[in-house]
Amino acid sequence: MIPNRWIGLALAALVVAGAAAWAGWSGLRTCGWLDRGAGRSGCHGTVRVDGVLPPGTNATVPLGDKVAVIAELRTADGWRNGLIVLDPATGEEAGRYPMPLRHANVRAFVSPDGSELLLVCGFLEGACSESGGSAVLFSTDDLTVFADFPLEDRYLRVFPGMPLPAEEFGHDAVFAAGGGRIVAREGRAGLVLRDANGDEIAPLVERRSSRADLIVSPDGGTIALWEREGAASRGDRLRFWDARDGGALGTIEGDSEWHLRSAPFWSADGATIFMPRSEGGTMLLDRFSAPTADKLR
Amino acid sequence: MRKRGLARLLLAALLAAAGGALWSVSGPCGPIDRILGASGCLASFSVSDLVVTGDTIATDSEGRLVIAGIDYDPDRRRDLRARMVAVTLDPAIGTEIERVDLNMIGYPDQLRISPDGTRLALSCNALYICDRAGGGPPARTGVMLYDRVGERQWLAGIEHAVAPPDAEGRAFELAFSPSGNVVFAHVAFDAVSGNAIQTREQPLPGPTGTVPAAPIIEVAGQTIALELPEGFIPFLRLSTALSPDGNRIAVLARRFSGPGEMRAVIRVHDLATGERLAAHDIREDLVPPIHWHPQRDAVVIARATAPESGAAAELRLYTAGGEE
Repeated sequence: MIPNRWIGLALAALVVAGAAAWAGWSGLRTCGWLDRGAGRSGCHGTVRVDGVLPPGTNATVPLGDKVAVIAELRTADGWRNGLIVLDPATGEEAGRYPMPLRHANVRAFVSPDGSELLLVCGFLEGACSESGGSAVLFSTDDLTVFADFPLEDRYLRVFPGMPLPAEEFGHDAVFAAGGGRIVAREGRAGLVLRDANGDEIAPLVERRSSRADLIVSPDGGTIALWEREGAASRGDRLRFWDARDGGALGTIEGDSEWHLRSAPFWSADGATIFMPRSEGGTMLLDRFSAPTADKLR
Repeated sequence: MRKRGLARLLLAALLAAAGGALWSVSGPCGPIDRILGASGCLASFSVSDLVVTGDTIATDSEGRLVIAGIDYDPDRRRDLRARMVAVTLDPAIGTEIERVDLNMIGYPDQLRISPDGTRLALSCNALYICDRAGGGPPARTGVMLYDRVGERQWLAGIEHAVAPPDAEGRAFELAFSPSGNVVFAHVAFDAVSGNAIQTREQPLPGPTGTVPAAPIIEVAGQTIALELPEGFIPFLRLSTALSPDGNRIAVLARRFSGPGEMRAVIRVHDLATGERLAAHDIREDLVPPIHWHPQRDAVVIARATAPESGAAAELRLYTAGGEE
C-alpha cells in the first residue's frame, strides 16, 4: 500500500512538470518569453489590446507618433466598426472612434501633409458608407469630423493626387525611395527592383507565395514582402530589401502558429516594425527591430 | 491550536460574506444608493431571459411598459439561439405581466406600439441575420407587425440597396400613422395587409429618437451643451426621449468602446429654456434606449448584457429633474 503522501507528491510533481512543459512550450513560440530571451526570432515584446479585431487588409495608418488601426471594436452593442488610435509600442490608447461605415474591410490612405484620412470601401463591397457612397474623409485632428468623399476611382491605391508607377509596370507596382525606385512583378511570381526609368536594378525574388503583400516603409528605404504561411514552419514570413540597391536585409519567420492578422507597419521613427496578430478578441502587436541597410553598414 | 485556526477561518469567511452582501446592496442603484440618492437612481428591475437590444422600450395604451428583446437559448446546432420576444411589465414594480414569443430569430432594433395599443411593429437591426425560425433572405431589413398575443400579421423586407443601413444597423425610422392604419418603414405599409401603399398619412412622431453625436446638439430648436466627461467618445448617434408633456428632453450618450470610467451619461433639459434639469454619469455600459417612465418622473434605461443563455435585463430609473 503506497502511503498517501507519496501519491500526493507524485501528483504534485506531475502538475508542476505539466506546468513547466506548458510554460516552456509557450515560451518557445514566436515572441514567447524564451524566444525573446534567446533572441531567436528577433521579437522584443508584444502589446495586447483588448476588444480589437483588425480586418485582413492593410488596416493601419500613421498619425503623428501614433497609429490608427481600422478594426472591429468591442462595444456595449457587440462588435462594431471603428478606429483605434494608440502608441503601438506601449499600447497606450488615445481614443476609440466609431466609423460611419457598414463594414471594416476598407483601404486607408493618409494625405501627404497628414491632415486627412481617407477610408475607401473594399473592391468587392463597393458602397459602404452610410449614404451609400464609396469613401469617407476624416480630419486627423479630430476623427469625429468626417464627410462622404466623392470617389472617381474605386480601385484607388494611393491618396488622390499622389503618383503611381505607370501601368506598364503592373497594376500593383509601387514606388520606393521617394519615387526613385519601382517595385514591380517579374514573370508570374517574381519581384524586381527598377529605377524610375524602368531599368532593372536587382531581382528581389524569383518565386513568392501566392498570398503575399508588398509593403514599403514610410521613409521609402525598405521594401518588405509579407508572405502568409511563407515560412518552412507554415507560419508567416517577412523578407526585407534595401530599396536603393535591392540588397537583402533579412527575414523574419514565425512558427507554425504565428500568423499576422493584417499588414505589418513601422514606427514613426522607422526603427521598429510591428506585426498585428489576433487572439480571440484581443489584438497583439509583436515588436521587432526594423531591418535597415544602415544597421548593416 | 486547530480549533483556534478553524475559528479564525470561519470568522474570515463570515466577514467576507458580510462584505459581499454590503457591497451588493450599496453598489450603483443598490438599496443604500437609492436611499441616499447618491447617483440619482430611483429603482432597478431585473427581467429574466431578456436582453434589450435597440430602441425597443415603449409604453402601451394602458400605461404598461412593453420591451422587445432577445431570449438567448442554447441551440444544438449553434451555441446560442437569439429568440425575439416581447415582454409587458408592470411599470410600478417591474414585474412581468406577459411574455410573447415573436417566432423570429434576430436582433430587434425598433419597437412601436399602435395608438390603440393592439399592434406591435418591429424592425430588425440590419447588421444581423433576422429571419423566421427556419431561415430567410439576407440583404434586407425586416419589418414585422404583430398583435398583442404574438401572432405575426405580416413580414416585409426593405432591400439594403434601397434603404442602406447606417453603421449601427438602422435602415429607416419605424412609425405608425396617427390612425394606426399605416406602418412607415421607408415605405408605407397597410397595417392590416402588409401591402405597400401610397398614402397621405404621415408618421406619428414618437417620443424617442436619435441625434448625431456632438458636444453641443440641437433638439427641437433648443441648443444643448452635453458637457461630456473628458475623453468620452460616444457612438455616432445619441438617443433622445421626449417627456409625455413635451416640455423636457432626455439625452443618452454612451461611450463607444475602450477604457474609461464613465460609460454613459444622461442629460435632461427643459426644452423652452434649455436649462439642465438632471445629469447622471453612469459607470456601467448601457444599451441604446432611453424612455420616459409612464408613471414616475423618471427615465428608464437598460444595462448592456452579455449574450448568454438565461441572460437577464437590468432596467434602471433615473431622476428627470421634476417633481418625484
